Amino acid sequence: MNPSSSGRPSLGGEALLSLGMVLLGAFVVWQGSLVKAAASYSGIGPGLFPGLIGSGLSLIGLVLGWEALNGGWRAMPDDETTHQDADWRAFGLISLAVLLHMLLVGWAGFIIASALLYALIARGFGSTRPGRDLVIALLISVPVFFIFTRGLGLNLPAGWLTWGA
Amino acid sequence: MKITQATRRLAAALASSALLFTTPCAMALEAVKILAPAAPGGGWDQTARSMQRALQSGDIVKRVTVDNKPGAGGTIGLAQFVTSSKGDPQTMMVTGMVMIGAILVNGSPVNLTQVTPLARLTGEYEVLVVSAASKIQKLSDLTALLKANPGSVSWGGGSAGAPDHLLAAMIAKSVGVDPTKINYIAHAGGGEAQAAILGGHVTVGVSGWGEFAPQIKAGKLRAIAISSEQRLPDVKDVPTLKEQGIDVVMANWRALFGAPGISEAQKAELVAAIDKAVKTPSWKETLDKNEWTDLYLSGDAFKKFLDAEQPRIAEIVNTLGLAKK
Amino acid sequence: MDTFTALMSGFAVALSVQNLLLGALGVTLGTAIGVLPGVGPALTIALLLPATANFEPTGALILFAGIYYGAMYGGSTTSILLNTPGESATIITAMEGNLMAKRGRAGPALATAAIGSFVAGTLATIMLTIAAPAMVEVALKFGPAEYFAVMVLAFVTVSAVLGNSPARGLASLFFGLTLGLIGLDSQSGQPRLTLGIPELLDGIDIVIVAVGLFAVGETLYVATYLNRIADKIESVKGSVWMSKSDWARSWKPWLRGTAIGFPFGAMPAGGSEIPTFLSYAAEKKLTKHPEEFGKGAIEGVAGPEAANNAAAAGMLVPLLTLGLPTGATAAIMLSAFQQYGLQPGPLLFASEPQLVWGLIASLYVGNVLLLILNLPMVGLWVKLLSIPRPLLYAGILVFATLGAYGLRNSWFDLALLYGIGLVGFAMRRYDIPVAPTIVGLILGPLAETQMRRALAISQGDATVFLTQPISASVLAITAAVLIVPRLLKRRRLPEPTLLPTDAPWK
Repeated sequence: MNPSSSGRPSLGGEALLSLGMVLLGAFVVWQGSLVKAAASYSGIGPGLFPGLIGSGLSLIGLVLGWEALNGGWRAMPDDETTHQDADWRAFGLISLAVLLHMLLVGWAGFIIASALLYALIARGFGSTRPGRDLVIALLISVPVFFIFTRGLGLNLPAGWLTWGA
Repeated sequence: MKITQATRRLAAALASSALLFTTPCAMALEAVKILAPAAPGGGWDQTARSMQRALQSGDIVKRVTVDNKPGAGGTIGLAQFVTSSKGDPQTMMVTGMVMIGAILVNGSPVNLTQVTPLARLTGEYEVLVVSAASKIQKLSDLTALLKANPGSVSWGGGSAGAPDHLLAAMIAKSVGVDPTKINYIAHAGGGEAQAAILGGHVTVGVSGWGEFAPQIKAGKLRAIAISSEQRLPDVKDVPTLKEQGIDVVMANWRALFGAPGISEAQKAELVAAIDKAVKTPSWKETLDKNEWTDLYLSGDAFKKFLDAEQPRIAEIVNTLGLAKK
Repeated sequence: MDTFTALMSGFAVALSVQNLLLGALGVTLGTAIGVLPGVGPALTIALLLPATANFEPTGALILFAGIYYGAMYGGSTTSILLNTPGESATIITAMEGNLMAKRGRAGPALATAAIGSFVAGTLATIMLTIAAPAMVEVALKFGPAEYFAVMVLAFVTVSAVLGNSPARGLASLFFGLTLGLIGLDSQSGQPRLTLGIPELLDGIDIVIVAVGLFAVGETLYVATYLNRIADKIESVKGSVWMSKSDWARSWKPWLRGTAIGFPFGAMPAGGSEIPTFLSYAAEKKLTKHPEEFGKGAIEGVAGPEAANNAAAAGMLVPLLTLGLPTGATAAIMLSAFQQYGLQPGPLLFASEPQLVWGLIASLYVGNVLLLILNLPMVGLWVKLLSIPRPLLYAGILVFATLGAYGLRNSWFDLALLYGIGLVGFAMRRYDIPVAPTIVGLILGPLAETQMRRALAISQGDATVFLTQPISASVLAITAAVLIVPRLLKRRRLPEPTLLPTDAPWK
């Protein structure tokens, strides 16, 4: 990201988010117009609120977009954290961890997926001891698994470790 | 950790209650999984867990597990059951009349004809109530109002497309009022509808007998009709719709279905297990405690019932314009 | 006094060794499940029902009441320490509570939450003891028009959570309203914004949104922007305990929170979330330290925590006096009563006095037990914050994903959690407050439903909101909240300390 002279992190991001709001609002209005209005004595169908809320969202998006293009959003905090460079590697590792967990949990099972999630996120935060992280992860996920499945009679996938069945 | 102690105690309690009835008998099935397409605690889940206890207490099936798959009126669970349990003779799913409506309302790509009907277990009749202070004394007072101005009668009940809604539409239709003209106010489950009726905010309430029974017994609500064929033995003073000239009978039934594509022999085996389970003291006790009406019907008789029930429900859902597409 | 003797005999029941143990087990279990997002008291009680079938009813109900109260306590602990609300009623607590924790004041935050919950729980139980029958008559007068008026009032006071910039606060609020639209429309049964995805038909669970925005968004943000800066979280700054000024700043919010929470709990469609918003708004208006709001003001923890516990007690009013469940937990407790062949309602007080008064007495006892359990734990909980960042945040995400996945064992909910987490990350980056999103998500669907119900019953006559006395007065109060401060400002009078924000509940 390119810090501008005024010390603002990214006017581009602000403009982009504003545009996103305008588009999301328009999408909501459009979806609302597709809802079949069932006859009702209230005189208000299910399409009215999507129309109102979508319009509101677009309108706020426009206001924020105008602000972004005219000196940036108002009353932004100006502390040292906003001047930091982003660590996209950490961001990517954590995203990977969550998405991998999503793919694995139903297949490899809750314990394995959660242990991996834990170790990867710790890595994302700069931990250099994957072995220790995995042990801690198991100390959390194994009891949780048994509390759920044995104690509460709920189901969490056992996956590759089939002692839960 | 304290929680593990608590759960161990709980597990012990569970185990001991399962050990109460250990009459050894021929074990036909090793393990069965019951899918409850609803969150724990709801009617379908309670049915699944009661059936689990009954099957295990009678030593009919050694190991029974309950799986919850809630969402979209049960149609998410149904879709999973149809695709991933195909041909599996060791799975069953709890479902009921509500799902026929939900399939249509949600535009579900799968439906009940794709699964194997096993047995209808229980049911609950619907009851029409007004607040004790209401001017409406009997059903004819209500139908007179309805005929004069359908909009002036607000019906309080469960979600749109639920049995409560469908019954209101059927009643309107049978007195010659356009069912799409009823002023139905949908409520989330639990006490929301009851509060609206007790507070006099809606004209009439419609819901399962069990939900209103305490208020009726306490005299806070007046029951003006019940949707059973005959008066119920334990509530003799509530007249049926039928005897008041409205030819509508409706029970919100719950049933067990088998996976798609299982053989006749596999189906017979499951039906035999359920036949045994409903005779266990555990099941009888469940019916008693929950005030569920025993509507047991298995095998072909259940299939025949379904063949008549499905089009009847579908027709009213379509009339109301609730079906998707 | 009749009530008094009845209550005393109730204490005799509640203080028996067996019931005391069950109460202790209940509050411990409740605290534990309150800590886990996604596992709420309703679910726990539902799953315990079969196991307690052979219990004696009084004991079982004492156990369940303990779980319910305990969950409210446990939920606030994770809100404050980990910014991961365990229950939807503790979301607002996460706002100021977690900021306090970040400034090294986790101890006082946890203490004011625990003591506030105790004070509110005890006062609300007293109100339950003396005012239950009268309360319920008033509560039933609330129909759709009245509820809509209350929602309007809640929306107006919401401006208190909007943050630094009204435009960004509104953007967040409207984003929440948009999320609230997703799913089957409650009145017509038509799907809205579901894009043909069946998993979206039931709408998006509040737990997923809260955990996604708070926990996942926060984790992504800290890893991306803050991790290279030296660890700034000071686990303990100053005393772990509440200082004299903390006490002075807490006791009024506790009382106000109780006054707001209890009636809401007693209303059939009140719930325990809205009173926490209103309490927060009231405290922000009334505080002598407005500069601290948004940085960790103790009033912002004390008030909402008291409100949610008082609402929890309020819920028992319609349940015991009418057999009316006003929430998921109440519905399950009702089926627990029915399991033992008991019918809650006016007859219950006459037919089973021992049980009712035993239950009420056990609520007093439960509150004491919770305080005993929680206060010494404060020191231990605070140590959680000294866990190194990698391990702490990894743990938070294990619980966050468990909460989302455990709802219905669906990978879709995990995808949703990550997606909302990305939104939370962007919001955090660009200083868009997240609380208004939650407020919009909860209030929006309620307001729309009540408005359409009211209009359907009146057959499209919009004057219904003004002709019903309760609705009209609530709307008048709302107008006063909007207009009076402005008029006063125009006259250049100092801001009055007696704003009518909390007047209707006094």
